[in-house]
Amino acid sequence: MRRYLYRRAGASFITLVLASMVVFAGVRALPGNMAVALSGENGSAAAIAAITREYGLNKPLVVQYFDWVRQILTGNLGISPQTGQSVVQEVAQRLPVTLELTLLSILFGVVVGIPVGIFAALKRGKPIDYASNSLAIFGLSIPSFWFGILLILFLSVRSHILPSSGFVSFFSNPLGNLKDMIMPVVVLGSGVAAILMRQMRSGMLETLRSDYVRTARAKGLPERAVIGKHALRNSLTAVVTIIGLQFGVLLSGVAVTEQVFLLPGIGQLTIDSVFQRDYPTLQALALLIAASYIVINFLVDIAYSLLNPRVRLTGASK
Amino acid sequence: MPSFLLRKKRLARRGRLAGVLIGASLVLASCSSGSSSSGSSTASSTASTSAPAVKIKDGGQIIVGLPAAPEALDPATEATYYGRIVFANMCLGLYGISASGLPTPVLASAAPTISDGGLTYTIPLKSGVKFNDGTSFDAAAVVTSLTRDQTLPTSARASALKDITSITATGNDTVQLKLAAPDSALTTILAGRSGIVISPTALTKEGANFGQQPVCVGPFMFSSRPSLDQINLVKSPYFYDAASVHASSLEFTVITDPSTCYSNLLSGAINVAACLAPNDVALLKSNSQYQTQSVITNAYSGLDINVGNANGYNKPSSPPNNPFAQHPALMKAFELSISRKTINNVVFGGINLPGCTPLAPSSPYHTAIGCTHRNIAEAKSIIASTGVATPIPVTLMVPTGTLNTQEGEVIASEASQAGFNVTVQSTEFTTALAAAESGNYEMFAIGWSGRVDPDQNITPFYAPGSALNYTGVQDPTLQSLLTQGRTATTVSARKAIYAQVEQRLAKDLGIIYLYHEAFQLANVSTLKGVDFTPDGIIHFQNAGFTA
Repeated sequence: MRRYLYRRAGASFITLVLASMVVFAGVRALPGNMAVALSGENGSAAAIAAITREYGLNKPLVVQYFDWVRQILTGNLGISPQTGQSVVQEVAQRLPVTLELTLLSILFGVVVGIPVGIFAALKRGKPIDYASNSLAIFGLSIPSFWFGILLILFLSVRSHILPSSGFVSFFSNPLGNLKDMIMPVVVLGSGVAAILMRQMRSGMLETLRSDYVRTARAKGLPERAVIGKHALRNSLTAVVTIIGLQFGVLLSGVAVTEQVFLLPGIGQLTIDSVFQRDYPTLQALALLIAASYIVINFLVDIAYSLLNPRVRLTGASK
Repeated sequence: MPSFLLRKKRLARRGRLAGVLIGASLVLASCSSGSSSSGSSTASSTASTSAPAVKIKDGGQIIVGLPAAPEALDPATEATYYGRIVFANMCLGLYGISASGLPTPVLASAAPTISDGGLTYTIPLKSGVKFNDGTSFDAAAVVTSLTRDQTLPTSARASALKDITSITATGNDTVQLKLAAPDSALTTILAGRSGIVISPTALTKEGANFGQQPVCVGPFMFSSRPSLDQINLVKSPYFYDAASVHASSLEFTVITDPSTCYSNLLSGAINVAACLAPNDVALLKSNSQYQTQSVITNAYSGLDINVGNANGYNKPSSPPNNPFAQHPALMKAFELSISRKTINNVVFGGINLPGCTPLAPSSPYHTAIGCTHRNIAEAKSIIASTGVATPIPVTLMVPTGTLNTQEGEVIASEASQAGFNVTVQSTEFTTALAAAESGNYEMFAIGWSGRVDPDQNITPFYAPGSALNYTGVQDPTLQSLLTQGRTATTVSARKAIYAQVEQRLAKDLGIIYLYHEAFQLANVSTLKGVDFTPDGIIHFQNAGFTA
């Protein structure tokens, strides 16, 4: 196990280095220029030159890359030309919002999707199964933008039950924070729930048809034990993968939901950074998202072995 | 071209997209809130500049939805239109813009005295004014601010102030500016961000981080900016006219999506919306719970045609290989093939003002020159006279976004009847700007956010070597007229010169002007005194909630 972890950590590091190169090259490959965008409508050649020098854009790309790597290693990701703030500070302000939204959405998806998936599998062909599938199709197909606006119209504009937008920190106002999060979490989490529900249902159906489940039942185990101890655990392996992937997808793709509910997360910051050619912020965010994917995949691999003892994490390939 | 326009275009794009996607929900929302209203309509008006007529109570928070975030709040470097709105409420300048569109004293006590043939400006200052940190406003502070605007390496104001050779405090309340050449636009320039005076004490304390904690003179003072998308101001106890300020705080929150902006206004999360799509404003006009205002600004939109920018704006002018550069008469044919009125009605619901010059009718320097109207027969005749075979292929670059694409498609459809085969090329805005600067385009649907002084709406687009001269046009006659316009000292003399400029620009010099944009604003009816001036700036100094 330890050897496996070392190997995976090494591979992850190499992947991260390669990702940093791709991120850096990709950002610089964008047409347009940060100095021109920053200098404003009446930007003079002198101002553009000064901005170019200030952000080191006149240096060779390789030198700029290693400057950036040096900054990362020292925990200094530079200054955002948009705001004049430190990029670390900017991301640190916004990341908790997106992380909270992502985690709560995953939680919502798990709490709703997995039980409904199990139930649909157990009641296959029954009305409850059809209803669950319909719900899943709804969750998968409804655009988050549209769903969000509808929720705002009914729960905020008409009923005044929930705030239409805004964000307060959980630590300063826990109840207010949860109120702010309900609608965005339902919007994002419904898609996750739909995916998990369908995966759980198909996984359970397959597991329930397997020999060992039949054996467990033949041994006279109660149905609850058969489902909970044998079938569910094996069906969860694929679901964990989906959860891991969904975490990455949500983390990098919450911009629309953040925009609709005015949540100050990293999604909107990413979009603004692209349009403004804010290289320091954009590089930091892209690298952050790449790193989160790598870490999540690593954790998912470890979770496999915990869920299914047949999956052994060893250093030797077999 | 720059962040302001970038933001503005992005807003437009999203506005149209939202309108298409959620039209039904907007109607639903309108019915919902409209049902409880009296049904009376508040007509859209031009800028409201009068003081509130009803009794206003002190206190309350005004929350304003803006469609894009200002940059760091340093008047020397900030370059967005929305930054100007924030500054207008916390950082007053030497001059402002009156309802008639002319400079009016704010921190200055009177118009500048101009002497030495326009080479010396003497500006008298208000006395007894304090910055929002309690320190005194004086001539030395003005010198500090203007000098910083000129010398800060990353200053976005330096080019506008380049003609000033010396800035001197000739007394505690008087500043004298010496110019290298007469510049009639200077007072107007000082009515913008260049004229904002910052606290020298705060500047010394904050240094390069001044934009994080800006301190100026204003009815509101900076409180915090917890994220890029939120700016909090509070009423200033130091403001010289604090009695006229009613609201206790002012919050600017960025709402990039117009339908989200609309739902936030309806739910009461914001009181003022400057982030609405035109169709949202139209819905609110029939709802007595809201007031709407609309101003035709100095902004314009048009079609830049590459007739002399083969190798980039900073290279010598050279005609590229496209039909317009080879046969300039085709520009007039193209103009005759399209209808400005149709574009405005079909794409913008008629809210903008069709026009064929860079100067809006609200400008005191505008002269109506009579625009050409759609005339397919004449367009075909011109094309035939050039001998160019039809259909003539034209690639029209438009910034991405539904509104812009629709505008391109309407133009393509109309021009096809005259013999132009227009391909609409939707391009991300910054990428489009890069293409325009390098001369890698044929026709570009682009606009300008507009300035109060006419020179700033024309010269940058026709001056040789200017980064905004995408067309590559170099016209000595025009340059001569523009020089005269900058040096003439009276409004009437300048107006006469700019009438000639407008006539000259109508002679196919590379830009086909299409329309002047309307900026729209809505607020809850209980909020009075919101002042929306002709330059598109929103002032909350006198705004407050009804008692």
